[in-house]
Amino acid sequence: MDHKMKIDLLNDKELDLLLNVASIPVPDSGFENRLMTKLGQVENSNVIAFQFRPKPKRWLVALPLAASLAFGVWLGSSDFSSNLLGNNTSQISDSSAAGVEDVTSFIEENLS
Amino acid sequence: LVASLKVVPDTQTLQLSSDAELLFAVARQDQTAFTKLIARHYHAVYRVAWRACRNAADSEDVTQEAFLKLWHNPAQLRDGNAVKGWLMRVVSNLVIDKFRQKPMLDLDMATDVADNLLPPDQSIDRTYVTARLDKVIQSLPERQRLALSMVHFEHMTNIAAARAMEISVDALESLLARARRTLKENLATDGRQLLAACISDGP
Repeated sequence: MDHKMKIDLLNDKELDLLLNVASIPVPDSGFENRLMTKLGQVENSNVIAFQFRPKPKRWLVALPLAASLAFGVWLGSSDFSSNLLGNNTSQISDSSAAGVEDVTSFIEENLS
Repeated sequence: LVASLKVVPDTQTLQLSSDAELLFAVARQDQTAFTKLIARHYHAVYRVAWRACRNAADSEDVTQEAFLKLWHNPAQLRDGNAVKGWLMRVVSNLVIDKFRQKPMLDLDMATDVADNLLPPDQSIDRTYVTARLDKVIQSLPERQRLALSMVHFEHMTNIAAARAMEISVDALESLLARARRTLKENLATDGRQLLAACISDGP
């Protein structure tokens, strides 16, 4: 631990000076010709260059969803669903006796 | 786009063309314009690839592949003046992919130096310093090496390098800081001796 503390590291300027001495690689001569040759080989092969598929447009997905929502709102607000029943339907009468509380009065009416 | 394409009619114009104009010409499969782009950027791209790959054969393969991608899909570049950054990005991805596939062979560095041991005769010349530094740089993880290569050796801005590596600027700065810290630690024992040797040898 003490040994590690005593190590005096290079500062940034010293490190930069040293890094400037590192190798500067130079490509072998003729790289351009090799690349153009490779390009020609690829051009002459049957390989078709990969084409990126275009991103799907978001509005194409949003449009039917929005239309569906609008149609639903319109259906809910208009009398369209009521009109589907037609005019010949009769309402079920729920004014007559139906519950347990009505049983007594119902019996009494029948007895009298 | 069509109007811009008409701006690049012949080789004479290409002598003074910007990257964007050359790119438009490349989109028309103009090989002269492509050659011009190669001449303009090949060395920088190769240097970054070399520092990442550590050998000439892989570096050339990666560099060529990057240029071939440019030839086949020049429309991928939204900004015509960002050719260098785009090539660096492609090279970064290719290098990282290659590292995932197989460890790189260190053929060029077969004559490298021992880790922090001075030569037997205790004399340090510039060749030794260079070899020692190359070895220390090679010992860095590939992403740190890429970051250091782009920013320190190719003088790219942090923003451009971060964009090329597809990371945030903070992440890039973190990579650089870790790289520099590691280099300092690895050069702790002989760094000043190497520096003294460089200074005594002169520029």
